Amino acid sequence: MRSIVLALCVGGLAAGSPEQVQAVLTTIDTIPSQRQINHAFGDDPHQAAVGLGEIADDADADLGVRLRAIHALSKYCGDPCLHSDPAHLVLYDLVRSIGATDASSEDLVILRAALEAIGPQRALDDPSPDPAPSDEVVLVSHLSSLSRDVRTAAVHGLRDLCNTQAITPLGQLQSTETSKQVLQAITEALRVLRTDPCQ
Amino acid sequence: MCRSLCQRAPDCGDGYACGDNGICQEADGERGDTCTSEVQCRAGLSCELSGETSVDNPSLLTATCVPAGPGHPAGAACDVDADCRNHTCALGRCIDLCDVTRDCGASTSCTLIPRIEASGKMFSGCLQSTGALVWNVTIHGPSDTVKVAVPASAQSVAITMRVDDANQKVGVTHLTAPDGTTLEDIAGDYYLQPVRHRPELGQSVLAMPSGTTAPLTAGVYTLDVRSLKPPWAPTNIGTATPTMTAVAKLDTSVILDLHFYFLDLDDHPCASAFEGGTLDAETGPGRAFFQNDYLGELRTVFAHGGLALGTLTYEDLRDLPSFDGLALANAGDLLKHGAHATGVNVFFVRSISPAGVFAYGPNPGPAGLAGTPQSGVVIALDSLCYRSWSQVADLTAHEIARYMGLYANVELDPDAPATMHYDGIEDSDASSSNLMYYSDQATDTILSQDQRAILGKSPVLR
Repeated sequence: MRSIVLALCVGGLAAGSPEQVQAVLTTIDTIPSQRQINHAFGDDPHQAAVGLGEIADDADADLGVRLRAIHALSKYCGDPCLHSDPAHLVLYDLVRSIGATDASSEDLVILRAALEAIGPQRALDDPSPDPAPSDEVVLVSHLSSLSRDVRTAAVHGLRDLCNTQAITPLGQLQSTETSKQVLQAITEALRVLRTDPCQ
Repeated sequence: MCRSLCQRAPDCGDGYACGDNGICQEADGERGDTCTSEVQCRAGLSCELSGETSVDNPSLLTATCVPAGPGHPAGAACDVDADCRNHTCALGRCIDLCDVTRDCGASTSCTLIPRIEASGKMFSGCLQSTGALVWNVTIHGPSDTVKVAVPASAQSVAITMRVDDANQKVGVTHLTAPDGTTLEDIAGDYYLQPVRHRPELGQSVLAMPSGTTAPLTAGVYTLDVRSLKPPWAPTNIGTATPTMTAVAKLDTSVILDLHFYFLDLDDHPCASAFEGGTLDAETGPGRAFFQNDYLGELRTVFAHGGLALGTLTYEDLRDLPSFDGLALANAGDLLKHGAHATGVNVFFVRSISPAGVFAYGPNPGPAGLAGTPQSGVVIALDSLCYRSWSQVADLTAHEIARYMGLYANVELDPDAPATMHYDGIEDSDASSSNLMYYSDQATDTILSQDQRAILGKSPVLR
């Protein structure tokens, strides 16, 4: 609840309410629609994006609420999605900050969610003179995770990113991977990435 | 003079009734005589519906003794009357007429059955006493109007419709009760109709009763069944011809069997909850956390709902790696592995995508049918990273209750964010303490009396 209050204080004058935000981010059987989320944040998509980012970033937030916020962020980047877009940066920072070797079990669940959410954003590379690593590079780095769930999520992220540069590292992993779950994901990702145009 | 003792008429043989004194009595009904029960007609004759109604009771059909046909005996499967020795096929079974249950064979009871061919007029026939009665209804073409007979002994009916094309929706676009009342129409408000139902991709289920405003009554229900193509308006009729299976629960049994399926859960991030890192069909059931925290909580929740857990089975599904971490879009392909028609199939997966979804299941499910894309519920065990086994049990109970026909006591409308909807059950409120509360912030697992009544009518029970 604390994170939800914080999220609504961003921007100062929130038209939504913590109760509405809690309502849409705690549903058991359904995925909240963008309309529902926007409404919870006062019918303001910008406020929603910022608020979701606050929740996604809050280590003290309920894990379920946090995961749903992370997933929702995949739809809040602009068109085109810039590297610097707040909705992208939250996911990007999560994916870069959670380590592969010392992550707690909750961290791994968060990381998996962020890896799967960042792919569909298809963010453009950082255009600055000293650019941050691209999403493709960051996702590929997680292909060596000790967690098969994280490796699978990274594969899914690369599939959804639709960047054909991922074909080579995925092919390399395919030749050494032992988990059937990950191999299945790689097979499917390569099929998508080799389809022209990738969708 | 020696006479045979009996409990049921078949104990005596063809052409005999079993009197209430337990003595076999020879029938004296000759060819052409009126009759109300098979046991009134002499050997070699059968009491067959005449198509006329009784003068004393116009809603009841009359019958006469006629030569028995060459068809199947009572209880056998049938499609048309000519398939049956007694020339009466109803609910997919050859049915003997009766006055009292003593006229019927073992495990059958005398009950009122509506006759579709006679505009819903009733006759008394011998029907299985317990369990779920399953029969198919033939649909002719992508759009058809069909009749479904509901016998008086039915507690509930679940009608499952399927099409081969998963890109077409299938379902009932209009439902009429025996008295002519509209119970459901696709143009109406889904949340406000006496029977909740909407066509879905590939398969859908219509369950009655779905609330307290429209109790199930004996009679003939009329259903407009259609396959639909985008944009899904009732006039956008598809090309696929639906199949329809009806399942009626005929008793008041309260035993719930559960069939657990374990996907590959090795090296799970939340394995600290598994006490040793492994959870499968062999190791799971013996663990204290599974027996006490998980199953114990399930037993408690369902006991408060008036149900008792019965047979529990466990099976590994370790060769389905594409479902270990389940993408929700593929849930139907996993649920096809639900092999048990009685009870509910429960699948444990590592995780569900999108993240934040910890459980999935149809609402309602195809009770009494196995192997369909909706034959079970899915529970993601990554919630164990921050929830307890008893909380996972509450989540499981919530999904199972949805499968069995309960709806959220209160829920959000995805298309009208400011709107909340209620379940149409008189005595259930919008409390967060209800098992069916839409949010995982629910505070308890309470069920109202009417909710328990609906749960108790589900055909998954035995």
